Amino acid sequence: MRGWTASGFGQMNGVAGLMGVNSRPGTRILWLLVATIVLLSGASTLLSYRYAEQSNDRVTARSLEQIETTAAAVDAFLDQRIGVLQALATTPVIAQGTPREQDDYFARVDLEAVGFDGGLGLVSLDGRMTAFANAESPQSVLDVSDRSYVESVMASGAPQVGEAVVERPDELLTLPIAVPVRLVDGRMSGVLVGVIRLDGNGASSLFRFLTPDVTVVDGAGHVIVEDGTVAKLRSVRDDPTYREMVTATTGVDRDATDLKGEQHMLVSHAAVETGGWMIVSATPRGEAFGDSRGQLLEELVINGLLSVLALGGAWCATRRLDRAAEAAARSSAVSGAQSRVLERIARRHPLDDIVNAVREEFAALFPTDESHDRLKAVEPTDAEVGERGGSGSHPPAPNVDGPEGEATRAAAHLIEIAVEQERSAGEIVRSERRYRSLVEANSAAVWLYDQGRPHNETSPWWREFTGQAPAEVDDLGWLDAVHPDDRDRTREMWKRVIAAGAAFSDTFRVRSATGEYRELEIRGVPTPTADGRAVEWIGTYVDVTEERRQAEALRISEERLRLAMDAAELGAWDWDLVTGAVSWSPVVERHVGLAPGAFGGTIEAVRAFIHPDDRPHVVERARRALELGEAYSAEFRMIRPDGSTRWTRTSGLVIRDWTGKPLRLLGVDVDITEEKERQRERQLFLASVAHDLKNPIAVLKASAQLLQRRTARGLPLDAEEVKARLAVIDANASRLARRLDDLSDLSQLEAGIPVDLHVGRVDLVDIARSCVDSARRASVAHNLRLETEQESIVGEWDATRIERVLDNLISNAIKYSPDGGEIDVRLWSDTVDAYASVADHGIGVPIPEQTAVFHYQRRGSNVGSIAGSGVGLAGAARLVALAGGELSLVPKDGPGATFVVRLPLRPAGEGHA
Amino acid sequence: MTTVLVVDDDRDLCEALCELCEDEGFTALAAFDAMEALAISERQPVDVVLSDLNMPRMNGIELYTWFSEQATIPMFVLTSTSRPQNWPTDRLFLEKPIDFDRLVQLVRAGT
Repeated sequence: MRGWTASGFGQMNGVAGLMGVNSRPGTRILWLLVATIVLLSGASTLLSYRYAEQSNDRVTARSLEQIETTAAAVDAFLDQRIGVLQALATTPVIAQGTPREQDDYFARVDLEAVGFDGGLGLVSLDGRMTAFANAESPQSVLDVSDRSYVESVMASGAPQVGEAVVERPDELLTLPIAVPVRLVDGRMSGVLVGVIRLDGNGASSLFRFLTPDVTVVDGAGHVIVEDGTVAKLRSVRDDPTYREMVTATTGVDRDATDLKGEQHMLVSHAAVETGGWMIVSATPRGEAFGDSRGQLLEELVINGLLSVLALGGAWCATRRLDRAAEAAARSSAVSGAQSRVLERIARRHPLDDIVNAVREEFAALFPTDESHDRLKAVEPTDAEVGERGGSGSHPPAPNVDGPEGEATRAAAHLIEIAVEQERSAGEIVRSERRYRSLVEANSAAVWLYDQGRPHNETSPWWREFTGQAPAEVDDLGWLDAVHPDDRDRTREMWKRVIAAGAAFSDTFRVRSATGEYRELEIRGVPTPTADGRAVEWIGTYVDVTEERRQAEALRISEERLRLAMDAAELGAWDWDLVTGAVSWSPVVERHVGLAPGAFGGTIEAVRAFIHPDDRPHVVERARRALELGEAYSAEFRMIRPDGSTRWTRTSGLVIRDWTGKPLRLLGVDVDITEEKERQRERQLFLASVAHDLKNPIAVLKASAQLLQRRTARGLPLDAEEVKARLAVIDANASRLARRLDDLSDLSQLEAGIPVDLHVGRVDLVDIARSCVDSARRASVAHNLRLETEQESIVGEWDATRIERVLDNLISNAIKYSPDGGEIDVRLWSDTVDAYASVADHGIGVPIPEQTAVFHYQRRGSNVGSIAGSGVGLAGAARLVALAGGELSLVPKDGPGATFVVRLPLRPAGEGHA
Repeated sequence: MTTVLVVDDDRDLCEALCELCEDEGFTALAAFDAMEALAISERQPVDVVLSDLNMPRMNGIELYTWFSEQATIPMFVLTSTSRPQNWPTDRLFLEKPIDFDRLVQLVRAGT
């Protein structure tokens, strides 16, 4: 007997072994009962839908109460709603508008903002798929929903719920749903395909629409009211209470604007207690709901969503009911088994009988091989049976009156407690998980800090994110994953939070499992215990790395833009059409001669700067941009406070709201005064070049016509006359060629292309004499004099070009002394340079312009209509410079001008001869 | 006999036009600038004026105003550009090089 008891159970069960030191029969019965309890409580654990994975005994009383209340409310509502949901689910969506409009609308709507999780898409009749929902690609929505399944909906016109795909037991399942979309005339325009993922997020989406006494505010600012009608919507967009609520719960001002003046997409979510659960998500993208067409289509979206969600909800609820029924059956089976076993114990059945009963009940509850194996463990072996003293009889029945009876009662009580504990543990954990789902649906990750529990247990996400081993996380070990630069600060922060028991939020960098540092925003609130001490914090982590990077990238790009605009002297302006305010960047202010910040900031102030003659043009361009959507660009003059005029080129664009109403007109200004001046000079230059070239051509043509006409009339041609005419033709052809050479040299020199010089030994006196002679022939009104004391001045120059320089100077002198008079050409030299001066008594050059006359487009301001391109002097100066010399104007005010050419006798680099 | 006053600061052109006019049987008078043209017109009667536009001292437009409006003598303007600046759109001008046949027609019509 002793050995039977001690060794038998000692071998099969560690618990029994420990207890086997005492071999009294009562004790034997006690641990037999304990073994039974272990088995039965194992059964009830398994039967609790694996909800009992975690111990709940540290959840504070208050949390428990909250969670249970909520969970009960959710359950009750879900049960109560099944009828409504099923009715909704079988109602086809009635939509107005053309399929095209629907497509357009769907493309604009952000269903994520409406609170939909999972996939949603619209399959048009031609099989084209448009996906709208978050995260799901069109293909994945179709993959799950299956084309043939969609086609069957198209054929039958009836909504269908597909087969759920369970991805992880009890964790995630995907439920495809298809609802026909009809136009008002009843024609089907497509099939709305939804895929609901019933994990934490998916479930919470359902709760958003289905939870009782819950105000669900979606991104469009709509609310589902709590009167039992799921489809009834009430707009709260402009409700100040709603705004306050959003601000209070998200911590973000709903009307907050970013740098560009656009409203933030407020992705913050919060769950707060307001009788039930309120889930708030806000995004200004929802503002898209508004016009009449939008309103109609909005109903389509909402109804479509509701249908999809309702179908999912109905399925989910049905499934839950099935499970509840199953659970109840299981539970009653367990309690039946328990009571039957207990009854046998109470009636002092033989031990073998009790053991057999346990085995049978267990087998009935767990009809698997595994359970049989487990059951075998309680069966005595043959050896053990043999040790019973060969009596072959049943062991003595327990004595209920003695210590053994006490033990039996204690065992029964233990069973009750165990069963009760397991039952409530299952409920609580289930509730806790629901609560968790709700929170997780609304933030990146959830953490729980409980001073009595290892950190690694309460915040599995942290380990997953950082890749830290469980042991590494505890006792502030998690700080090792925090960036070294942030670590001390974070440790101090954490200590302060723990000491003060306060709510907090902070941001720090954390090394992810891949080794990359990510910026996390952490928020937490303490959950006070009954005695008011904070021992537990619950909070969220949000990975804000991308957000921060984008903000930084935006800042850098704006900085670059500003630098580029400053470098390009581009001024920026911005006219807010709503408030009427105009802002100018300092560059614009500089353009109009204002000190930075001195601009008045109104459109009237802008108007005052625009030249009165240009105002109608600018106003018209702006009108066309705002009303007709044309590109805005204009060139106009701005008048500076000092009265001077600057040319401005402006171009801008209109920012509109989604209805097309203009909100802002903004753009850039560039000062084009210099460009306009160059343009004008260029026009004048080209006009004078044309004049210079056309005159010799006109002479050639006139001469030709003269000879032709005389020949045609048979008039006698006098040889002298012909000779004279040919000389004129020759001279003008040469003149034309020289002008073209001038232009060609000039353009080459202006473009920085070297000009080929033909340098040889040349006598400057010879050249000057020939120039003066030909000039004399051309002008009878002027008295040309050549003065030199030297027979010859020989240097190394390009003869043709030196001749052109002198020609230019002399013809210039003739041109600008229209009243005739003396023109003196003087030549002299020293040992190094030769000089030639040309002096006239004409109109002279005003002193301020004396340096400018050598610029190729510049001519004196006093030349009036005197023909000439101004190419001559500029070209001459360039040619002289090319020869290593210099052309200058002797400074002098009033009439008369003297130009002096200095030419080195030898090219630079060669010594004296 | 028609007297034509040719005004151009380009001597070669001025003289060639004079000769052409004389070949047509007109009496041609040459002036190398506007002031000279005014002086000649004061000394003797002129029926038609042919004048360059860009000239020193006084330009063709001023001369045009004087002859057409004050002295009521028809004047044809010769220019090197397709449309002279500030030129009244309804007034005729001849672009250089000049089509002499057309010029002769105009002179005959003008007188």
